[in-house]
Amino acid sequence: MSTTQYATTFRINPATAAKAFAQLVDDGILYKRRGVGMFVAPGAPDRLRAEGRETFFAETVDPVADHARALGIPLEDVIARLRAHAARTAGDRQDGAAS
Amino acid sequence: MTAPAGPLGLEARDLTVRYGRKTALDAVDLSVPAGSITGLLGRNGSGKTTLASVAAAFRRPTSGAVLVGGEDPWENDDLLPRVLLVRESGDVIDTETLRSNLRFAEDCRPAFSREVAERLMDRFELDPGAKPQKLSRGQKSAFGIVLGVAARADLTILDEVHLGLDAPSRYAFYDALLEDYVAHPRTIVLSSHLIGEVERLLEHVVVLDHGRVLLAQDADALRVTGVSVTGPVREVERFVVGRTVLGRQRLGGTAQATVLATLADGEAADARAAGLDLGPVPLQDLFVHLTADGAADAARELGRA
Repeated sequence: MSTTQYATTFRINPATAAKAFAQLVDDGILYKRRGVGMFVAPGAPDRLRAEGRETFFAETVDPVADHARALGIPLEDVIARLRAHAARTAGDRQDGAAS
Repeated sequence: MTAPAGPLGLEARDLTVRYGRKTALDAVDLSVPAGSITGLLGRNGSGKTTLASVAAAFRRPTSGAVLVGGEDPWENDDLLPRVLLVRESGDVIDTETLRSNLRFAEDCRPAFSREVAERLMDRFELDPGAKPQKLSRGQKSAFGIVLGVAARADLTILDEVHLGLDAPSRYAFYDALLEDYVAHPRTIVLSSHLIGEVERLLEHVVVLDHGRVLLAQDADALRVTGVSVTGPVREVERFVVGRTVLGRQRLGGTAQATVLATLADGEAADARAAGLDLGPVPLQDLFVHLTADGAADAARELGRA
């Protein structure tokens, strides 16, 4: 997909879309090949995952803990729910692979 | 001297326009980058339509100058076919059919695309055989949009062209404008009160207030200059010390403040640790705060930033 398609799809200014891609190039997530287009850099998914792991606890888990406390939900219930959900989605994935 | 081919920039230098004793534009300096989609924002009576009229050579300045592609547009034969102002009043021939009006536009607009015009006529369900005087407010606006997009003028000024259009038609307008702009770059000046709807289309923003330029900035830069802070009154009050506060609300023990600030990562983390919720400030809210009476100092600070 071209930056122009991003602009029209999301109804944003093409310059904004181009800036977003330039930022991803600066960050080394994408690289440009002149006249061909932009590609995901090798290792970019691993890097993004590593960065995601760094912020996961502070940005995702801590707010859940705060929210649970505010609602009076014991942390054990939250943990049980996480375990049940993980078991269920792992099961789904195996079913999917089998069919 | 002839302005170069391609999108035409717009510049105002010390531009003043008076209507009798009323000053509509007061020593305005601004520039609209060539090839940008620029939002021309301002409250009613702020001078937007006057600026548009001078740029399109519908009106002469009282003093100062307006330059289109570096040239004075007044009675400029080379420039005027490339400059289009669509006003909410329509500026069409009321007694001729839409079909004839399109043909007329095609004759005097070198880049006019009949294909785009026909597609948009269908999209807005306009009858080519109808006469403008028979159209509803929304249909008149839709026809203005057809002309505005299909003309592919190097400087296209759309002044409140969405009046009376329902939401699906407005979205169709934004889509058509963006698509055709991407394929055929031009300078678009978009004046609208529906800031929330158009803000993501904009690359550059000019805000007029009482005939003066309140700010003229890159839209992305503007989007990150405001922060809304919500939390316990004491923490909010501590946070705003030394910052420019645009607005404040209080409900029981909770307060919200809108401040002009671009926070460093550390500052944001500290604020969150103190129990404050931080959020972006939509352009529309920023606009409301900045054009409120007594906000001129804050606007000046933003203009300098």
